[in-house]
Amino acid sequence: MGVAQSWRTQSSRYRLAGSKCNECKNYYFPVTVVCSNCESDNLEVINFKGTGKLVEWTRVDEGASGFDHVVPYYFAIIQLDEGVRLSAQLVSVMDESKITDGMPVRMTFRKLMESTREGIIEYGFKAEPVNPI
Amino acid sequence: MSVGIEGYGVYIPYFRITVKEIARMWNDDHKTISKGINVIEKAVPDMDEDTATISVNAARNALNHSGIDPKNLEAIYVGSESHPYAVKPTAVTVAEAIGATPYMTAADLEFACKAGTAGMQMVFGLVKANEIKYGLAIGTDCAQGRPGDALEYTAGAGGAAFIIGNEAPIATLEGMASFTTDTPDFWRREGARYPSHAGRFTGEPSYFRHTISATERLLNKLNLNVEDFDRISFHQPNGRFPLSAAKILNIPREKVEDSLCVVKVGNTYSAASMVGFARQLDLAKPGERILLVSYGSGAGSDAFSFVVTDEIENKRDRAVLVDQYISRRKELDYAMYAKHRGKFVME
Ligand SMILES: [Zn+2]
Repeated sequence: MGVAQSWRTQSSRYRLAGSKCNECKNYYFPVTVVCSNCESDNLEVINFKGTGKLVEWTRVDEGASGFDHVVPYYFAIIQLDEGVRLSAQLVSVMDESKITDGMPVRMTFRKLMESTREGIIEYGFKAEPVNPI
Repeated sequence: MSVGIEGYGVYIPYFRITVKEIARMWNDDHKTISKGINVIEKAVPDMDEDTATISVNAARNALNHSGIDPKNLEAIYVGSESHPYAVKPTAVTVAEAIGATPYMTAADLEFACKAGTAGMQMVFGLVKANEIKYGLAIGTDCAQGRPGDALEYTAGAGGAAFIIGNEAPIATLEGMASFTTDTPDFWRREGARYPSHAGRFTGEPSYFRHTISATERLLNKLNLNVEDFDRISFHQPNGRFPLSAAKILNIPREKVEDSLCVVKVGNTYSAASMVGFARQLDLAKPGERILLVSYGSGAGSDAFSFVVTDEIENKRDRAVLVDQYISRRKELDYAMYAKHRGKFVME
């Protein structure tokens, strides 16, 4: 992700900003301008509370460039309490055998990417178990 | 209503390494060391945590506790000696992440372990002058000790955030006083990975002289005695120094003991006295008087006197207690700890 693109997606990464359709009450992540459910453009930007549950997860053993030193790590699909789903890294896991589908998670602020020692540091949300595992 | 703390929050990383495990690595006697520094274990940040992430998570807890709209924060100061960038403020990342931008001021502060309380002084000044309604002061560090150095046993990680205003404070500010000199007890040059220190010099002319002088100055200013304080948080580079400072000032150790988070999370540097203060607030009752005294090498101390209000009970259920973070822990062995702290140089 380039510096400019990173900056444009900042509100979603930093504050979990999304959209709420004022007509049919559907939620979207990230921010969108037209509701794909009712086609209304009467949407407002909201920040999700950041609590939800784990829907699916996978273990990554071979990291992409910039992640090779942190393997293994976990990647998850999260369903937020407002109903939308998003993908995020799952952190604060010491015992993989205790990860369970449906377990409560919350979003926490972390470094997402630091490709070189001289480049920009990307920050944003990751998920962690509400009850330590 | 007078100016005071509207809300506060801390953040302490999930991982720990024990003094015993570090001593095993260096063939030291852990019992002697642990007793000498009065530290059992220290908090270790995850590989994707730094001063910015810890500050944001602490600030979110403070915001929830205060119940105020982040758009009403008009100043954010982050004090640390481990800002992620040499040039690019940590405070703007915090401001953006909690939704306080853009009509506000922000800056990063540095003064070894007292940069966080320097931020508190600045926000108190702005609120008292009616320049701003609310401001946020944060002290955070991810401290690094050279492998095998004495500091490795204590260098911890954590953050504390205080929202200051005059709307519904849980503790009002009675007064503040400082004591500052040029004393070379601890330093790190630009580009150096680990700090250097003057060994035993860290005690008498630096920590104790500044902590005690700032305290005495505040007592004189407010016409108070040490007996007037119910709870105290001194800077805690280890678990011994604050108790020794209390002894010198004839303060019973019980008044300091509740603040000693250093025993379980290590020295959190800029956060240390503020996390201790947060724990005292977690336990405080309305009417109690609390003394907060920071210490930063180089050197200086900032002292504050607070009186707890009835409002503390109204906001209690929104607080995430310091003890919740202290008890939320997983132990690492030395190898995992080295990986977490980037002690393996990969390039
Ligand atoms: Zn719709």
